[in-house]
Amino acid sequence: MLTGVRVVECAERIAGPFCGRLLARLGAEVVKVERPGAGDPSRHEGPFHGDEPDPEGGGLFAYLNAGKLGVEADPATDDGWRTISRLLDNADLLIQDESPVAPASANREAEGFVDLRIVTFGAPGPYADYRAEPLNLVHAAGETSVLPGGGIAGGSPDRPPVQPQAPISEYDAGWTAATAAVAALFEHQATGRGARVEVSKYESIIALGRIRNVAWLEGVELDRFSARYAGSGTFACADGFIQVLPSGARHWEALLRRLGLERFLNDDRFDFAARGLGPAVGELQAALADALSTRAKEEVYRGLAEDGVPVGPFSTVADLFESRQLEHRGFFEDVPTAEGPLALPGLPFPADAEAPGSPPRLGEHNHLLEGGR
Amino acid sequence: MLPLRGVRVVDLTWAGAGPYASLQLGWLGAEVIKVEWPARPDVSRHGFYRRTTSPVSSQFNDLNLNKLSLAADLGAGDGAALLRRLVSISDVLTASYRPGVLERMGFDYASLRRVRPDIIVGTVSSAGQTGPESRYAGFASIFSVQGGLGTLSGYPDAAPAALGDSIDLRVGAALAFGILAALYDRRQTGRGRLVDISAREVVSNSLGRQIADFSMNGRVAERSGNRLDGALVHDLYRCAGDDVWVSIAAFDETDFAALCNAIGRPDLISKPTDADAAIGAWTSPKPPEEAARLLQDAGVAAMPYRSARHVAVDPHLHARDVFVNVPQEDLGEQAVMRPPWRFEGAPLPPLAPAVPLGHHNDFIIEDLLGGGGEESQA
Repeated sequence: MLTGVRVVECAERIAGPFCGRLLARLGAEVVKVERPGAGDPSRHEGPFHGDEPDPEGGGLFAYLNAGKLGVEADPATDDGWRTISRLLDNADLLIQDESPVAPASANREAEGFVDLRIVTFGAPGPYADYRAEPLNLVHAAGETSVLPGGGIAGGSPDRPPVQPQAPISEYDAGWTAATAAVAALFEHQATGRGARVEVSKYESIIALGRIRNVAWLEGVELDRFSARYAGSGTFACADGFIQVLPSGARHWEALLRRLGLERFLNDDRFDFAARGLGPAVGELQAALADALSTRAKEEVYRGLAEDGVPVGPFSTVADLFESRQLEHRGFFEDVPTAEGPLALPGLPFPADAEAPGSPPRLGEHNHLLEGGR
Repeated sequence: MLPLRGVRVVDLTWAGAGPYASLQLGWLGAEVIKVEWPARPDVSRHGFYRRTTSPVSSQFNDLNLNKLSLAADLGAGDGAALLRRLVSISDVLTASYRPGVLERMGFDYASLRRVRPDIIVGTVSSAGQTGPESRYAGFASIFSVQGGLGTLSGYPDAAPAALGDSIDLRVGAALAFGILAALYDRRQTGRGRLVDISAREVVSNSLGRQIADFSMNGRVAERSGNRLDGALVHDLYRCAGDDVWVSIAAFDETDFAALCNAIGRPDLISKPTDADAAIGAWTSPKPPEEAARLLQDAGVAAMPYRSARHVAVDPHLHARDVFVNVPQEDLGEQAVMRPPWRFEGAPLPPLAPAVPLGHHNDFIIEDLLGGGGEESQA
């Protein structure tokens, strides 16, 4: 879909490289510029086969950088920047972040290309120079104000909110940056004009909390102690957890019949068509918890989902590889690595994309620096 | 910077994910025509959490800026004919119905192509348009756990936790990207395409590290509160007040030494395992903003924890004009959020408030479609 688009990526870790990855998987040619000798820090962060550190064998690096070309140059030096500038002469898009960036002397006009910069907070503002890891961003953005909810998820005033154990702020910034980049490329495609675009990681994750943020502006406070999250719909099964969210009489009838709890259907203390289930709801919850505790989550999921009840298992990464739906979609794709093919997530939409290429070895394509591409 | 001016989008989405995608296309200059059934308008019109009687809630307003509103009963012959005419003069159609519904309505991708051969169709659903589980019901808090993020969220000694609403918007972010790439492609090739987003797969795209570790080592990642393997300090610490916390992360020895010095405990530099209580003792009498600022001054990554009430008054977001007030006819001045990208030298994109259902029926039917047709009475 982006065949012919030429990208230079001077970005490290996740957000910028994920943006580059999205473009690369759609056919763009992405030249990844890494600091000479050390390379992108994500080369050193693993995971590695057998936990043996190997800068050419990192699993996260392979996911984020599959199919890119790799060159070494230091954008923070005049020499390095001159080298990168030659690459830019033939490029449509430059992706930069706050890792070593171009010296001030290289403050060139983004005339013929799209100059995308991913920042943590951005200026002006009191946090312009703040450092932030994904832990800091996810908790500062309000994302964790509902985590964990009450009940068996263990939310209580005595314990702090919890992060999702994945750096979602980095991926959020990557999606946002990729959207802004393709929008600017669309303009560039028509007019030849370049553009400078800034994407802030903080604002990217904040933007996705807009429903909660605007709800607060109209006086609705959502936090992990809100009634909405008290009975979160999470139950323990014999082999893991499941989310069950019945609403309305049809869902409740299906749920109670599947679990052998028909006795509640004729119990006039409950009005299953109503939004609330009345004061005896605790008894019903306990019966559900008891019935679910002996069943396998996948079996409960299939049965209830076939009946139309909104339900989903808490999948582990192992479960994802067992999913018949993901298999049908061909979601996982093999990235070729020195250790053999590595199964990693593909795009979340079928895109007739070519099979992914290998992640570059550090400096593997340094020949591209000799006299441009 | 309005690269999508001249691009017309027929938007059949509702709730969070799809409307966030079409909101982004509108910010970029597309003309978005939101089509709702009079008997079943977008659920967010009356608010996600508290029902308003106004034809537009704050949340609907914020997610549906710049969109024209068409009321049409797409299940009836007239409404369906109207939609076909609209598709014939449009570039993109977006939909978030449960898979199978567009087919029943006669508006699946194959049918739409017969009306407009180069149409781009963007869909969001829990699991994708095809496959054994495609027709199962799904909300954000279901596909977020099924995509693998739930298992990784929460305390290790309690059940996992589910993120909801914001996950919906992540799915919308992926759809906007896919549609933009399809528009770029269409200009090169003349061909439209189906962009069939699976919400679960969007979630799983954030698990690169965990999925790679499973593929390489068979290791199944589990939740671990706020801790992270490999970091020396990675947690929330209590500050002065109720439910008030500061997040602190120190990955390597340099960061950790800076942290120990900042809290006046250089003696702990050689004893990282003893640091937790000392950090907590230092943060607990302080407001979180002060704790974060003192640590940041020392070069340590630290930020206050916030819920929505704090985000609304965040000084950084206000310095960057992230919240913008727009006058909405029924609600008065309403704060909305600007796009999360900034094109240098370009003015703020249009932020026209959302409108009541059917507000643009006359304009769309008479001016865009040139009137005529039985359906003009729709």
